[in-house]
Amino acid sequence: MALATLAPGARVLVLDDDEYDAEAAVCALEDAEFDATALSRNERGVGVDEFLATECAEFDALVCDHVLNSSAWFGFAGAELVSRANSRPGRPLPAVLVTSHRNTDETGAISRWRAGIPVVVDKPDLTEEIVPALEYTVRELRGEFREERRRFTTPIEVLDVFDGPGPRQARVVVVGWHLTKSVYMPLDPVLEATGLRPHELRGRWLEAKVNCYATRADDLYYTDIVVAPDMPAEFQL
Amino acid sequence: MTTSPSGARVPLDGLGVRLLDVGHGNSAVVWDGTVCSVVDVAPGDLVNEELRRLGCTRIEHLVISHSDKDHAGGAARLLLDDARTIGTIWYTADGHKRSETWQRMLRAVEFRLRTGGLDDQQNIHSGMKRRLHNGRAWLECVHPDVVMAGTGPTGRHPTAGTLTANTVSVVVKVHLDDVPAALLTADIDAIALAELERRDADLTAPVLVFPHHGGRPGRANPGEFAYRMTQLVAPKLIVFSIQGGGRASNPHPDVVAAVRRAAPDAHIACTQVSRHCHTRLEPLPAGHLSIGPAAGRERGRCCAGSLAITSGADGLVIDPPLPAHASFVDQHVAAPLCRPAIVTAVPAARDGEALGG
Repeated sequence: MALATLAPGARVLVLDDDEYDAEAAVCALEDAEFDATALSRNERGVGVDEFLATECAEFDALVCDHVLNSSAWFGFAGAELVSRANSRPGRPLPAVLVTSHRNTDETGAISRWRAGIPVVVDKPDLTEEIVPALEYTVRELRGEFREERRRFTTPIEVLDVFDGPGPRQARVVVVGWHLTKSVYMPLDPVLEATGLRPHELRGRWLEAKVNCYATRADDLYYTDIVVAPDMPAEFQL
Repeated sequence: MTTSPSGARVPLDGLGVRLLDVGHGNSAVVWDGTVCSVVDVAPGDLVNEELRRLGCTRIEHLVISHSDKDHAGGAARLLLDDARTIGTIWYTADGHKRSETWQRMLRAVEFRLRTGGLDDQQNIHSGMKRRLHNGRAWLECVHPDVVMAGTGPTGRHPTAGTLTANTVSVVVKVHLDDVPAALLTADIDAIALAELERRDADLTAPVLVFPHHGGRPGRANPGEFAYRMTQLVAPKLIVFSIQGGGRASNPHPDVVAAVRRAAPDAHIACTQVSRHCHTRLEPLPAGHLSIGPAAGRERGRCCAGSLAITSGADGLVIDPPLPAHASFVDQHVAAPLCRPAIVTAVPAARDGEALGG
């Protein structure tokens, strides 16, 4: 379904377990003539799918903090909710992720869902960036990708695999992004897509669609992951 | 050669070659309308940006002069980008320097060949019968010859001895409407130049993109190398593609002095302002620059920035106009190596100075 632009008066749900931060986001959105509502608790303690189907049902867009405290009955991360909102079959809900954890361990958790998160806004920049972020999200949901989010297939070399404890991820070289820098790629989507076990991945070559013009490594996202075929003999050094 | 007398900007359609300011490195885009070819892809987004600006959806020829990061670091991304198809990628057998990196590059080549976005891959050398046509422009491989291209970097070349990746880097002469326009010399060193002299290769071109960003030409004397190189090319414009700011590096003052002695009437243009010429780091004005992307523009480090050489009714046109660049240098650059009167004595090399590229 094609999305229209978010017009003045559009209803935006702001989800943040910190009431002060939620109110700050509401003020920024109201300044831009949106009809914003703050929500700081998941009163019924429902899961992400039901939350999306019920609590978000009356809204035209969503702004969501990444770390949602379980004491407020949230049993899911903001990154998952935002990704599922933007990917909602038939009726995507434009959703922006807000976080103050871009350079912490939470980066890995966001990375797992990054394909469905067009924009991550740093919390200190929220006031200035939230409206442009919503506008871009709507454009991307219409298929208008900016260069940093446009993806194409690239070979990926798996250098190492970390199967826990700690973040489950693979250290890889994404050839189309950088020929020498390694980055961390979420492990579970690779295992789900390829059927391989963690110990079988090390040294393998994969292929995936990646937004190779991303400036930052933690903005990379991966879809359509497959195991690459062996290189023909004439290409072996 | 003429410069645009009014300072008017060159239109996008038409025929030309743009020498991109990529910082330390080289990238050139040749275009005839929306038909494009690329020689070297430095890391970053500049080549993609220029191709998008030109509306290019097909790269006829992608030439990689050698495997150094500042020439090939962005090639894999450009190769894999499905926004464009590619005719032929051309390179030499230069896999010795960082085999892991080159293997990844070959993965990109193999992927694009397998999935249909790339027609062919070829070894490039000066003995090729085939011209690399790009509409009304064409690319001529001047170096390396078939033997050097075949061996790549080696310690056992039959006449030259040890060849490095720089020695065998690809030299391309760009022709616009069958008129030589620019000689792109990558990182060739004195051994390569001696080989070109031995073969009596025709290096003449109105624009010389100086080898190795004006740094040292291997173990040879930089001044002697620069003098010989400039004499052989007989250029009207010499371009040094460099990174401005930071530590003092390129171009080597001996190189600039020798270039000036060999071609006293030629114009010298660095893409960014060298620390040899200007040590203050305040942003410099950019009003004289040509349109199009330039790595130094945002930080205010451009000297000539990206340069476009286009084919006009009265000959070749340079953008930015050279008088505008000269005026910028006179007004804003503290001690330009390119502008003072020619010195009679070549300054001695400075011990320990880091000048490599």
